[in-house]
Formats: sequence, C-alpha cells, structure tokens
Amino acid sequence: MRHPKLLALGLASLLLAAFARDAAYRSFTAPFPGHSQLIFGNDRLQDIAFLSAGFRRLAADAAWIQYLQFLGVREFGRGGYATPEELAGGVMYPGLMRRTLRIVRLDPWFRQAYLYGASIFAWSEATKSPENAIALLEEGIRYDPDYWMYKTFLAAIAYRERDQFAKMAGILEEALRNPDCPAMIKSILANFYKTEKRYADALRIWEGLIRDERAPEYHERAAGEIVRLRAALRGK
Amino acid sequence: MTAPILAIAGYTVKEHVRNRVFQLVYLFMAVLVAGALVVSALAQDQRLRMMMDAGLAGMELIALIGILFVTVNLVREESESRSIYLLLSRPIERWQYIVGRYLGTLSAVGAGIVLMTLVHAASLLFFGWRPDALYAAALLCAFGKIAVMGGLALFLSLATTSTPSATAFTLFLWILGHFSGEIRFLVEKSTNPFVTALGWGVGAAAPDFAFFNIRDFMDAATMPGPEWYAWLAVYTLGYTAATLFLSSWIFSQREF
Repeated sequence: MRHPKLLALGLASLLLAAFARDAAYRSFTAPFPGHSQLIFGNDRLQDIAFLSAGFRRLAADAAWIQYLQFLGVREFGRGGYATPEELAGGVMYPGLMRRTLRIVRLDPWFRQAYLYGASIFAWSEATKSPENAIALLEEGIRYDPDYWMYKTFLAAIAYRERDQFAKMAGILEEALRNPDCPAMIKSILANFYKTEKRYADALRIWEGLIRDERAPEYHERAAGEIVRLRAALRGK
Repeated sequence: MTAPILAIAGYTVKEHVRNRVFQLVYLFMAVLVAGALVVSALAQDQRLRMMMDAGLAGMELIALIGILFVTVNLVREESESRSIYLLLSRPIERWQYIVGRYLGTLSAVGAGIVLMTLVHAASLLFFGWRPDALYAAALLCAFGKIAVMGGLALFLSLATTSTPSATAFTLFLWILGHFSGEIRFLVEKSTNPFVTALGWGVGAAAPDFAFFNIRDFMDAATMPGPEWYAWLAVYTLGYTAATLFLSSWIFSQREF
C-alpha cells in the first residue's frame, strides 16, 4: 500500500468533520417539527421529493400555491383539488385544516399561511370553525413567540366569539397597519363596517385595498364596493 | 508546492468554461429564473418569498448538476485519453494533481454561482427586495454543500469502476445527507451498542446537509450564533479535505 499517510489523513479529517458536526448540533439545531409530524395528503410524492432534495421551504411554497388554488375554486368539485370522499361530505372547503397544517409543518415560520388560514376559519361563513383558527395560531406562537400578529388575531377571535364586535374591530384596525396583514382580513373588516352602517370606515379600507398592488384579486370587488359605499354615503 | 496546484486549477477552469455542458447548464439557470418569475405570480403577496426560494434552490440544483457531471469524469477522461501520462511525467505529486483539478472545478462552479446570484439578486431587487446578510449566508452555505459534493463525487469517481455508478452513489449520498436528522434520531433511540456505533459511523461517513440548508429556516425566531457558523466551516473543510485525501490515496495506488 503506497502513501498510507494520505489514508490516515483522510480518516483523521473525517473524524474532525464528525466532531465539528456534533459540536454544531450541540450549539444549535433548527427547531423543525419532525418528519413524523408532517401532513402528507394527495401530494405526498411532491413533498417527499422536495424534502429529499433539501428544499423544505420550497416544498411549503409549492403547497401554498396549491392551497390558494384550492381556495380559489368557487364551485366545489371543480379543479380536482378535493378527493371524491371529501366531496361526498358536502363541505365547501374539505380538509382545509389538513391542507393548512401541511404548509405550516413544512415551514413553521410561514406567517402568512397561519394568518390566512386562521382568517378563513375564524371569519369565513363557509368554514366557521374558530377552534381551528385558535389551534393554528397557537401552533404559530409556539414557533414564533415574538410575532405579535398571532396574538392580535387570537384577541380578535375571542372578541368575536363573545359578540364584542367593536373591540374586535379595534384589534383588527391595529393589525391592518402591519404589512403582513392578509388582504382577506381587510375585506372582512370592511364588510363588518358595512353591516354596522359605518360606510366611511368601510370605504377607507376598500380604497386602500384597490391601491394595494399585492392583492390584485381584490381590486375588482373593491371597485364595486367603492361605488356602492359612495352611493350609500351620498344617500345618507 | 502550491504552484503546480494553481497551474492545474487554472487549466481546469479554462477547460470547464469551454465545456458545452457547463454553458448549457447556466443557460438553463436563466430559464429557471424566468420560470420562477412566472410561477411566483401565483403566490399572491408571497411573490418575493417564492422568487427567493425558487432562485436559491435553482442555483443550488444547477451548481450540483454542474459539479456532479463534470467531476465524475474529471480524472477518467484524462486517463482514457492518455493525456494524464504527460502530466504525471512532470514533477507533480499525484495529490497536487487531484487538489488542482478539484479547485479548478470548484472555482468554475463558484464563478457560475456568482453569475447566477447577480441575475437572481437583480430580479429580487426589481420586486422591492432589501438585501440582507442571511441571503449571503444562504449562498455561502449552498456553496459549502457544493464543495462537499464535489469532493465526494471525485472520491466516488476514483473508487468506483464507472461513471454511472459514481453518479448514482453520489446522488444517493446527496439524498441521504438530507435525512441526517432521522439517522441521528435512530442512533439516539437505539439501545444496541453495535447499532449505535454503526449508525454513528454511517452518520459520520455520509455528508450532513441539514446544516447547509439555512435558507429553510431563514425566518426562524432563533438563528444560530457565530459559533455554529464556525463549526459549519470546520465541518465543510474537514469533510472536503477527507474526500481529497482519500481521493489522492486511491489515485496514488493506480499504475499508469
């Protein structure tokens, strides 16, 4: 055997690398949920492929796009995003909690997914499950305890459940000032104001939404609401 | 000692820059960036995040393909064309040849990563991104991963008998490296000392890529401190050095 020193140096370097690896793990380990906590739905092969390649956050992004497409299907049953078993249940958005958890278990710091999901569960007439919204936000707080928007949403949900709508509106107004606030929350608050005949407040929010370049899906609706609200204000 | 290494590295860089496969790979990156721009529009107000993630992942994948397909043929091609005899007839140590070829390949891929970063960063800036240190950290970690993979591919190309087997083993280790957390979990849970030792050995021999995926926890509430980065650097250098030493040892056993 020639050059045994090279072999010895190779093995010694490998041992050094192993030692450095253990030291790094003792110093910090990324607090991801374990793979056993991941929610694999119909797209398990997609998620596993991304995970195998080390693209965990990208897996969450792909799941997010599929989530938005699923929600965007207005007439349930079209688009192939629900299984036949789910459709047979007669629910508008079947398996929504599972779909939301799929994203946040892949990327526990995907704030928009928590806020968007919680908004739908708490305020959408089609889902109406505040307990899911609370569970989602509590999971978000576990991974991101300093992000105040989760606690803000929890407070708003709590006031809504107690029919304390004025307090709920106050909390949501505060949330609206944060750039992370989903456009859905703005539309929910605007609709609430309209129901309460607070047309000027509703108009203010819709005018903000129509100028928001990050929420083009709300522009058409905002344009219609602005016309109606201005007419309502003139009628007053 | 370094002059032959740098000379070999220099001609390796020139060789790769002229390589059509290399050029096609980087053209593909431009296509990937354009694709990311289109797909990210579906992500509503998470467009910037989507572009960031798709771009970083794309760059890493392109660099992996580049270094993998070039490195597995690095020594084999020169051996088969007999041009290696010319090199080895010079006063060059075999380890210098291996290190020079590796450094040249890594430099060429690194230059490609820099080019891709410029394109990626320009597209992000266009959509209102503000540069931060984590982006640079994510890129450096991706480069570290590529450096480790390059060393591994070179070692396996010399240790195995064919290009497809070297490629297959390298890709297998790439995938295994992303499940290092699961290997550690199994080792910790095992009560059998033999299984524990075997698991630790496999974990040590296989690359551990969980470290390098800092882009996956860029938004985490707690980020690693400087100590972690230092250990990551030691790990990268140690593992790469191990693959180069072992490659040099295998190469030194060969009769030409």
